[in-house]
Amino acid sequence: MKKKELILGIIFLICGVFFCIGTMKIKLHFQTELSAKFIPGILSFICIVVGISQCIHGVAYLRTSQQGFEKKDDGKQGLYSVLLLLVMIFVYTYLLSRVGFLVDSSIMLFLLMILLSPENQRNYLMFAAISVVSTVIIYYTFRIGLDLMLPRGILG
Amino acid sequence: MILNGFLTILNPESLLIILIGVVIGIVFGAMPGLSTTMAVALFLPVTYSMKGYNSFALLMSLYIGAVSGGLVTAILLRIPGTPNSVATVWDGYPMAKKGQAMKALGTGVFFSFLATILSVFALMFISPVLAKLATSFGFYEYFSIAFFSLTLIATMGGKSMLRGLFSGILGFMFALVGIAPIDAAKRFTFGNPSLLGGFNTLPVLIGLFAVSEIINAVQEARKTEKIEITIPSTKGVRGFGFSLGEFKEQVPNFIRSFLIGLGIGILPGIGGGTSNIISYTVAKKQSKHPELFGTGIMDGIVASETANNASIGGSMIPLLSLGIPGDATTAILLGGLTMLGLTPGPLLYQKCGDFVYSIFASLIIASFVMLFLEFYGLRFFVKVLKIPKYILLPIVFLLCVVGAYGNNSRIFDVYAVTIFGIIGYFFKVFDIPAAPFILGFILGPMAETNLRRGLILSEGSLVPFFTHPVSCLFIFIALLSIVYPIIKYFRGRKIVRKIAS
Repeated sequence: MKKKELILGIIFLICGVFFCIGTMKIKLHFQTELSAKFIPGILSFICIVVGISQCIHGVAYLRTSQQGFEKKDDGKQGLYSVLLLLVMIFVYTYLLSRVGFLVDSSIMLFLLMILLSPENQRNYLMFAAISVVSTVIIYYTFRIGLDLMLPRGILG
Repeated sequence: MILNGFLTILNPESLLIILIGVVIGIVFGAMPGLSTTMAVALFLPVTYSMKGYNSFALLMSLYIGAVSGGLVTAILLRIPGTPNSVATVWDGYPMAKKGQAMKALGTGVFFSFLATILSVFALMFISPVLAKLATSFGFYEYFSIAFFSLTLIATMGGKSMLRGLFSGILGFMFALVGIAPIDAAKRFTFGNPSLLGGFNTLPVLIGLFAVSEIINAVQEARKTEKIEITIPSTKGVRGFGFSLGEFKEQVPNFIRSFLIGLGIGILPGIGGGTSNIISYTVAKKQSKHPELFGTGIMDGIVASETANNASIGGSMIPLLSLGIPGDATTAILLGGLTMLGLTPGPLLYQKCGDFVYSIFASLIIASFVMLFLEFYGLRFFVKVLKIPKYILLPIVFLLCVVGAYGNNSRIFDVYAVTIFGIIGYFFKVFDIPAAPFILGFILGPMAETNLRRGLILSEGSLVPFFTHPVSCLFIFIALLSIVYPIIKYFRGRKIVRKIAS
């Protein structure tokens, strides 16, 4: 994508401005040789400079890049899958302490396998079996073998 | 001391741990999409309840297995399992196509082993000397070393200096979240009590290196192809597949590649991922027959595999002697040491000498295990490679969750893993290197704390940073590493303009 460099510059710049605002909001309790604002301030400044430089580079790249063949890809479908995965992870994390590791993770694993596999290679029964068995193995390995407490949830 | 180290490790339990660690490490190294950093990060929680020397025996074996495991897929599939084996592909795969797969694998495995062993010896000799020297270091020296490391990762970290800089700044910024050192001011907490303690290193690393890979795999899922891999025949193959004469021919190439790998390993931010490519390029330039590189000759594999394994010992030197991680994997090892209640740095040798030498012993034993497993256990690893990613990655995801949650038993850390996974995915999409982020995250607070403490000690004066020789030297090199790429950039533009006119 030709605009990638410019978009990146804008993202750097937005981050720099965000850091700058965050730095200004830091409340100091007392004065020291170097305040807690100093390093974030310096970093915000460098980030803005990096952002501006990247924007200049992005504009120059746009001008110099030759017109012509631009690859068409099926990126949209991929992006939907990524968004779906992120929603799944956040829902999974939210339910982890409520439903419990065993149930929540088995379902998540099953759904992840479906999401990651090509349609012609989906074997739902095998996915379900692997999901439950591997969750149980991981749970008991960590809980009994390694003394790690994992949320029990509804099975507690 | 080293004998004590071996006596600590030579027991059935530790040996079994090393064996398991190397096997898992090789699988992580060989499997495209799984990496060395991921292996060490995911198995760190497993070490929570282990004895100190056993936990590091596991982590070291994973490290060694994963770094060398990348060569299997590099040679047989033309896909480097990890960035450490990118250059191995260039001659390894053509050799396999010529029917010399076992010779290519034997060369890679043997020189990986030799380089690892020698790098451990270098570590054993250089690290204690450096640690002794570092006992006299104070705030000024530590600030300068951290400052030097931070500038280096930004300028040498990747293809684009601006991307490297941004990555380092972002890592540093995330490290600032929480209570500030010295004056206890709250920074970037946005009223959220979970943010007061800042982000733990482990969720950051797991998110950046493991979860991001899963997100990426989802996008690539539609393009997934079945791995077609054939097991090369061992018929008629003697030893490691090459003669003594061929070995002797490779000695100068080996020594040169070893020194490149070791040196690059010591420098912060650039480890095996870079050293194998640089070493390959240098070997080609120095060769009497550069035209044969890329057609399937031993020289290319020797250069690449020697350099990436030499970086193992190299990156451990600053970690054990100064408490500064050389790359993302050693950053996790730093976390592992901290979890054991140890302070990495010059005092580690004085306070826990036996433990440090048990690490060296683990590295040596793991190298031997890797040598035999990788060559003679090839059939097993090839079978594991056939397990589809859509089965493996969800299990990796579950290990990510357990790893993050187990750290502090906080759901917040699981959310953190997802956030850093998204950042890691964003980095992949925009070709931003992740290593500067990690080093900014680890070294940033070290630089800030030492700068502020140094200034309190000097009552606000910057002069002591320049009057202490070591501190002055590192600040000078750091400034040089900032100025040099800028001069190079403008010179390059001048030449381009001249050519254009």
